Amino acid sequence: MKPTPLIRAAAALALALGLVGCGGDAGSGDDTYTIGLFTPLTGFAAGDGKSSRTAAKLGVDKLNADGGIGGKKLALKVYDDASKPDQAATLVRKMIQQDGVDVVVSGSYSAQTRAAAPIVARADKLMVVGYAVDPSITEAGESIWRVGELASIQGKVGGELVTKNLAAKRVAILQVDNDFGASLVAAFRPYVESKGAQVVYRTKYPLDEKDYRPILSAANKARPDVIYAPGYYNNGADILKQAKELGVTAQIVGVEGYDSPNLIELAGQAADGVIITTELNRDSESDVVQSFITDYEKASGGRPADAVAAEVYDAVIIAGKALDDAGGADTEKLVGALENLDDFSDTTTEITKFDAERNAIRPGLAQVVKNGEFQFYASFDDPAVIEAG
Amino acid sequence: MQDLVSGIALGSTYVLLAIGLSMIYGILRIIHVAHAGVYVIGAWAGYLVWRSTGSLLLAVIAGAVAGAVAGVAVLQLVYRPMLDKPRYVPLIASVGVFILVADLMAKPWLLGPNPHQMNVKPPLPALRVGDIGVSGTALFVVLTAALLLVMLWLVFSRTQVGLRWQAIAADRELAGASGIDVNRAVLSNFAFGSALAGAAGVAYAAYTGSVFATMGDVPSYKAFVVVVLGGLGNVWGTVVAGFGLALLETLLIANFGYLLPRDALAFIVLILVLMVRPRGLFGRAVA
Repeated sequence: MKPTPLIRAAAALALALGLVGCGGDAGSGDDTYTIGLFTPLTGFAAGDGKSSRTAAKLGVDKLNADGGIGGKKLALKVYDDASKPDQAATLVRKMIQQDGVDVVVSGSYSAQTRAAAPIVARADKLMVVGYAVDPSITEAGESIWRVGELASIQGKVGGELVTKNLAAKRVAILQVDNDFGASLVAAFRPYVESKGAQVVYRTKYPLDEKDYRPILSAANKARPDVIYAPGYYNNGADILKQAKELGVTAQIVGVEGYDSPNLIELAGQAADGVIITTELNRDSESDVVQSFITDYEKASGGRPADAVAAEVYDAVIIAGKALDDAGGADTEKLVGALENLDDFSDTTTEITKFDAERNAIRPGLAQVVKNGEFQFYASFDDPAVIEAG
Repeated sequence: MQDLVSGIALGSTYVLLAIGLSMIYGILRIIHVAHAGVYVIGAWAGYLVWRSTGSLLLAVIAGAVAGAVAGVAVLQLVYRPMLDKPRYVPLIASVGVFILVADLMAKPWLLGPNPHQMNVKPPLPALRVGDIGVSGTALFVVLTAALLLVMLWLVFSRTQVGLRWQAIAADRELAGASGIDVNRAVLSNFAFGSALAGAAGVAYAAYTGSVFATMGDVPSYKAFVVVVLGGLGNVWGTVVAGFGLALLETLLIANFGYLLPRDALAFIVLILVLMVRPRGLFGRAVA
């Protein structure tokens, strides 16, 4: 049957109404503030994207349940950056120019967030960054703030862990070949060397590597006490399994990229004993942390919370606080509100303050996997370690 | 030495995949990119069977069967109507089938976007001599590949089927004119070659410990490098090239790190070899 003119007209009308409907839906109305979250819902980092989306929803629901923002409701719009920097850049343009979001939140990786940051800064919007670690992100402008732990700090925390707690003298470095690995090692390596440890082997591996046996056996030949292996959970899982298979006895130290239930799922028993630097202290006595962990597990259908989730949750909470304190979405006032912010009691990653470069400061944290669970290993308070510089 | 062992285990998975491709090229002269899709389907089937039975052996068998079914389906549904067309027609179709498989596999009701663990309980005890260790899983992968290669050799050299394959590879029209049922021989060749790809998918998944939707991306071109290196359509050349490439990758990375991406190495070797020997390492001159 060919569509009659009437059906065509009806279809066109329906389409038009649908489009108008979408347009009206987007952006903030008089009684709503909108947070735009970009995160990888597809592509290699899709697991982290899902954690981010669940956590951001949880944060928005929490703020609304507590009475909203100055009498207004908070809404969340989620955008899929497909784990691609150019996609992230396009999305933040759309958020700001077409969809009229009030605050941008990054629930994405360093490369994507780095591509988005200058665009957001130029458009004079506030962006709160969740877990992207690359130091240059906040350098894009006054309106870019970060909840996550700066790579230049986390690298030092890793160095302190390795040289003090683990008393390592010989360190091998296997780093993922991207911004994340490079920025962590840029801080880790000089730190351990300044503490008298020796870097006996170092190599970069590609993000999608599956066979680490050649570099593990080469590292092992250098007889390291510790193998520092920045990367993500899929790299970490393979490294742990293959190291065990090759009989590598050095302690493996990972980073927050390992902090995911996927690490334990993928590595199985080989995950036991790995120590990582991260931000979510699952054994914290704080009610905020414990109720976040419970609520998150409920919201995600039984998947435990991870560092990515906690940091994105905190980014949303901080964005909400800024809107509340500023009494509106004016960026200058939002930045002023964040500069004066001193109460972080409802965040989950133990933030104590923002430094002058707009990066969150918190005690350093190491967790260890025991019996298939992340547990507290050590914390670090020395300002020389946990602050930039 | 440890690297030699690791290289051989990795090489076994390369060889299993590439040899099927070489057989198919030999008989049909099709650049069968979808072979890597068959590999992913095999890995997926093997993963499902492993998850429900815990047996790697059953998983490899399931992978081989699924591979054979998928390969034959591609042959009958996609290539068969195109066999008389210029060779680029099935090539384009093949690329399409491969992309389709990878995208379907990324759907949540198949493999989904996230990797799944396949930490098999090693079916054999690990071996350790001094500093050199080989896991039970790696040992199993090497032995499986060896067994399948011996089987293949027997089929090629001792059976009517193998003889027909060789006849068709040498001259398809002449073989047909001599009373060989070319269609049936092509079918059995495709089924066997695709079963090897399916088994390779499971072997690689077990060796690396994970299964994921895009695991065919790199093999889709690397297998070709192996086949061309070995001399197009030369099955035994493919075996040498597969082990050689895996050993070279492993030894270079172990001794010099990633001077260049692992997967670029394959192409550099290919270019160098083709400059000296345009027919590949073991290719016969084309009359």
